[in-house]
Amino acid sequence: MLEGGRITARQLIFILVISRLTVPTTSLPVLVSPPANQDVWLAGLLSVIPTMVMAAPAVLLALRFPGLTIIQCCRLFMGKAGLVIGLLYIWFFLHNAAISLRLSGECMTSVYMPETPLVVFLLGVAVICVSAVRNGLEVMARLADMLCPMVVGGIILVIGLVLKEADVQALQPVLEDGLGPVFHGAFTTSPRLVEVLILSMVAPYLNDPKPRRIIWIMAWTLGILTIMFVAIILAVIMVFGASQAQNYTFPFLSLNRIVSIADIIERIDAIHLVMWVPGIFIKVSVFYYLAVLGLSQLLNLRTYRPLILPMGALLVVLSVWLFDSLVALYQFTQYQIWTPYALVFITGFPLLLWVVALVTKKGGVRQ
Amino acid sequence: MFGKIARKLRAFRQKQKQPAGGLPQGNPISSGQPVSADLTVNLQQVRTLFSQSSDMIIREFRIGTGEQVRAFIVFVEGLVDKTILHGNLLKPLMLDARLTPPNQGVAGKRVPDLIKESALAVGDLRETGDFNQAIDAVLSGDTALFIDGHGAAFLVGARGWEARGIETPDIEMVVRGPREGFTETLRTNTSLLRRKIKNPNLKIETMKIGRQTRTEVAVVYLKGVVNDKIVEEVKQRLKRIDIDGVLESGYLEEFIEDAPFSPFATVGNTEKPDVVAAKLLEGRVAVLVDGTPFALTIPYLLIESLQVAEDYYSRPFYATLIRWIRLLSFFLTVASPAIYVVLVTFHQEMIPTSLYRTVAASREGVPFPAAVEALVMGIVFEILREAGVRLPRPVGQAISIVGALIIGEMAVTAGLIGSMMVIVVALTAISGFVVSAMSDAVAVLRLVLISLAGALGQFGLMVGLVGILIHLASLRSFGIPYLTPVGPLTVQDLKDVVIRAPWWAMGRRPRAIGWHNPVRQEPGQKPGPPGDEEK
Amino acid sequence: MKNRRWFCGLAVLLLLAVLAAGCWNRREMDTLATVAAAAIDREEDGSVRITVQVVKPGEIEAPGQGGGGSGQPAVALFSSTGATVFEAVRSMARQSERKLYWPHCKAVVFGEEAARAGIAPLRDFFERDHEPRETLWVLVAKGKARDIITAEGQLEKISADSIGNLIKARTATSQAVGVRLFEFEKMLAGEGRDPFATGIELVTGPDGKKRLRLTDTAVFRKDGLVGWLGADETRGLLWVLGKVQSGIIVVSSPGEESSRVSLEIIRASSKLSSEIKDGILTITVEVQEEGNLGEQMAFGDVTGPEAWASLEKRKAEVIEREIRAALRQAQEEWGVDIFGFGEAVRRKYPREWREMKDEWREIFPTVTVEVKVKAKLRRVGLVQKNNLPR
Repeated sequence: MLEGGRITARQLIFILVISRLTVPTTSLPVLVSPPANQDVWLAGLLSVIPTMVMAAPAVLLALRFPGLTIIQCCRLFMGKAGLVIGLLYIWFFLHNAAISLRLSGECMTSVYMPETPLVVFLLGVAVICVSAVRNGLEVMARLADMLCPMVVGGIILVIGLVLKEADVQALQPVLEDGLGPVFHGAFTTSPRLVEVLILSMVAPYLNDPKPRRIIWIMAWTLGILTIMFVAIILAVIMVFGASQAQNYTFPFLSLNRIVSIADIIERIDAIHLVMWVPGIFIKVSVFYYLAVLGLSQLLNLRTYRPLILPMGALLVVLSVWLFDSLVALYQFTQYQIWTPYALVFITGFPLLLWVVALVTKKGGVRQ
Repeated sequence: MFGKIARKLRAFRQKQKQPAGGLPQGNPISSGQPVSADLTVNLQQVRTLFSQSSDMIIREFRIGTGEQVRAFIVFVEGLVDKTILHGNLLKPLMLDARLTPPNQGVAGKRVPDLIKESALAVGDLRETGDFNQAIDAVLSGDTALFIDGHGAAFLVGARGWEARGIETPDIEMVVRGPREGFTETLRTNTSLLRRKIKNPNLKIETMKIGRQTRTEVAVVYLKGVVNDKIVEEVKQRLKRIDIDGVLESGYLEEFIEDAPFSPFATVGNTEKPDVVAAKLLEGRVAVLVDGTPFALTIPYLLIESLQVAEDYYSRPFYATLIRWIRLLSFFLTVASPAIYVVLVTFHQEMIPTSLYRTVAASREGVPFPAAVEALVMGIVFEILREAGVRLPRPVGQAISIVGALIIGEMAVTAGLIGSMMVIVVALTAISGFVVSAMSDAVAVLRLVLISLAGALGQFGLMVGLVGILIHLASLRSFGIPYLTPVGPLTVQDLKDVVIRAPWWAMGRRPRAIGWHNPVRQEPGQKPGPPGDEEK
Repeated sequence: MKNRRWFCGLAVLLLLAVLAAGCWNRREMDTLATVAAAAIDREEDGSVRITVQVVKPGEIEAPGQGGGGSGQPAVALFSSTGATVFEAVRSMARQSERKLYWPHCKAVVFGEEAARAGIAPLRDFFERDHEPRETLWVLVAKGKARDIITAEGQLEKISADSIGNLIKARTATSQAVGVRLFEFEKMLAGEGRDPFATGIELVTGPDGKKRLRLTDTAVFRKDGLVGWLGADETRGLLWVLGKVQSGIIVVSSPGEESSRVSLEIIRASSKLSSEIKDGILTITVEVQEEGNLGEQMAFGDVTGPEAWASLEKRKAEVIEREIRAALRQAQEEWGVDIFGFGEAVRRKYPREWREMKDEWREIFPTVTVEVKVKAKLRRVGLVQKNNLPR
């Protein structure tokens, strides 16, 4: 057995939530995707529906092969093609981890410590990620158990503190450009939930892998995420106004910086770091772990440990090498590039696998 | 990183375990030698064995009038209650046996049986045919009686020695609650427990550990509540130990803990019988060691170092508040110097302006970087503390004068360190005393965090904290995750973590440990004025 | 096994890196020159002149160290020029003895001329750089900004604190505005709204010394200063925005027209709505105000129902007059939409707004504005009437 640990459904939900929340607390790219005005929050709210649709193949696949990860599914009935798909997935996981890692480093160098080389932050996060991955899934899940309430609580606290600067009128007019762009926005936003793939990789390690559990996990995750996500967007837009909010590189951080209550509760940037560094850490280590786990499943290894350090080194190198600058990183994570790219992995391959499984009558509830 | 070291050590221990097996050569007592029926042989053997032991007393005598039976007793001076020995052992055998001739009914019986049944007026009397066992017992304070022609020895439990009485422990003070503490005598300690839990299910299994010291170690648990696997595991790990001597339970702790290289303790210790009893009732196992008042409790979770006996004796609101204060103190004592370093040398923008100016004024002209200052002051504080502990009581005053006046006041006046730093160090120290159960872990982590913070600011601090968290999450104590019930989260168990729920609401034992027999008491015992019951 | 050694090696390497290069961003507090306020002027040749007020930590009273301060000024002043703001800031390093440190900068003052030429290019540094906070106050000086910065505070040792306190105390009259950088930014970025900022000037005190005073409000078209709103007009602007918090409204006493009565504002709110009917745009401003009778210099009894109602009416008239004054200046003189009428239109008529927005500058002066004021008088204070001396 590659991974002996077992995690609970709640821990998985927490992992998914933390992992997804690191993006809106850093760059919030949704602000510039359509409709790119004060209706963005509606797009965020509506993205639940396309997300469910997009996640469906992965969930169906997980239901059909309860004991298998998506990589193992590839191996099971896709032959050589499965190997290629599996490798692509490993790339995708690693790529994801690298992007998050880089984003965290960029935020650190932009805001907190501009004179420190980027690679120091990358290595700093990478080292704790390596130690987390070495300890396995169960330890990461326990960390998520502790960190998720902290991250969610931190976000709520910050939003609560800036409420007095918020102006509801900034949300009007509602549906300025009609429903079309909002739906478009909902669609382009939804593939940001790459965390669906965590589910399809980790579902076999749930301590209660009943099919109903997986759907339940998906529902809870989407519920919590949508609320938090919409709350962040609403707060940012109401405080800064839609056009200025788009202008900020790190809108949620700027939200932290303007808090000033009674001249005492002010300059609370530290809260941002306190909730955000652990968030980044969970996200990077989970995707890094998935890459390591996936590769060892693909290669039929008995243990994934030997892969940890090479992959970790690759991760750091990748995150340095992938982008020249923050601008390049932002360009990549804009919806024009990111949405189709992520969609292939979130929906495309799982759908392909599921259809193939249906046609070849592999898997199923009985087995 | 810690996890890694821990694993390495585990592997190391596995390696060590293999050659052990049976008692090693150097042991003076090897089991299996029978007691000879010939008294002279026995006497010779005992004499050889205890040849240069001046505290060993061998007394030969004869029993009866007619065909007198030769016998001798052997005991260790100082370990035996002489009144019992003289009045209930020597007197019946030497005098009474002469005065009252054996009556008819006992004529057919053998002398030893006769002695056993009607001569020795002591409660604790055992018989062993194993010579070494007899010697062992003598060394533990029993008196051995050898009778000619009898291939066995009587062991008379007439132990009695000078011992410290039951006193209030100096640490783990309580305002409300039992004040008695364990003593150095194992039997006294087990009796203290037995007095608290009057239940046949309270099991006390003893074993001897230590090649030379042959120290008695008792594994105590409450059958039916405890998880048998943990008891088995504890016994296994104890049996594996092959050590010269056990002088304190700390010796054993280091052999049985899960993560030997972790700064955090995975085996708890306490001096208070009520604490041990409470932990037994939760389903934990206790290990008592003869010769020390410190009992070990297993498994030990992080949260236990934030719980204090008094929490459970005082009213729940205050107990809850104090528990939060303790958590805050833990955080402060670990992180406050590091936070200070971060704020003063990296993120001055996070200090409110007016405070910033005050701090800036106090930092003006201070020669050392804040990180160095914090490290030095941290070490100075540890020195003061150690000195305070070791100093004889009467000179204790000197330490406070040197510490407070010279190091604190004068260093600031001389401009060696900033006045803020002194406040931070004082705060660190004071909050450290609040969570004294973790003081060793805290001191190490504090220095690590100061270094990280001094190098990388808040990022370093966060990396350090997350690193500590990873380490904590990877720890287990006898199979139980160390951060239970926070990570993995067990919402039901938070009743004794986030708050201290009233006793009538704590209907179930902690799930991680007491799942075996979860129900502590029936629900619905919330008190109220009469006539309110139907609510 | 090999794996582990590698990992250890990595950890040691990282540790070494940390120890060796542990000074990237480390800055001890005694190496920093804490900027308390900055002033930005344009030189005649178009270059930027920055003047900063730096706190001298040695002159700040450290409690418990006896007295503190040696009568020296608690601030140091530095000034330098450059083609851009950032260049000017950096070239200050040649004279400022320590590295300038911005996060505790409370206010940025722009010179009048610099503001007329447009402050958008000048303020980008404060937005983009991570050191200055989004919460600093934006002010425009009447005259040179550096004169404001060099003036001494009377109660505060650091005149930046004086500026901060003045802005905080603005609510006493509601005749000055307080605008923080992110609020200014929001007004600048918003469609259908022009920004405004606090005005500040130097006046001569009774002892002949210069002192700071908050004065008219600087009004911008896009980012260029176009004029100043006077005290009453400023309050008119704040009425429309619903930002009046307190202040005194003076009306003549009913029955004794030559004597005055002061009415204190307790709270106020406003509602802005727009309506397009038959192609004609009307903006309605509804102001609700509540106040107390604060002072009576007349001797009649104004607590009777008629006089009371009359006072309320007079108060409403004053409020409307103030609003109208502000509107007149903004609409007729400058044609700048500091009230955010454009935004109000956009909120309700997004489609019409799209056609309107390019010509908004032309439309705005012609917009009909209806002002509805509901003013209430609640309490009389501790005495009922002012007794006529006999």
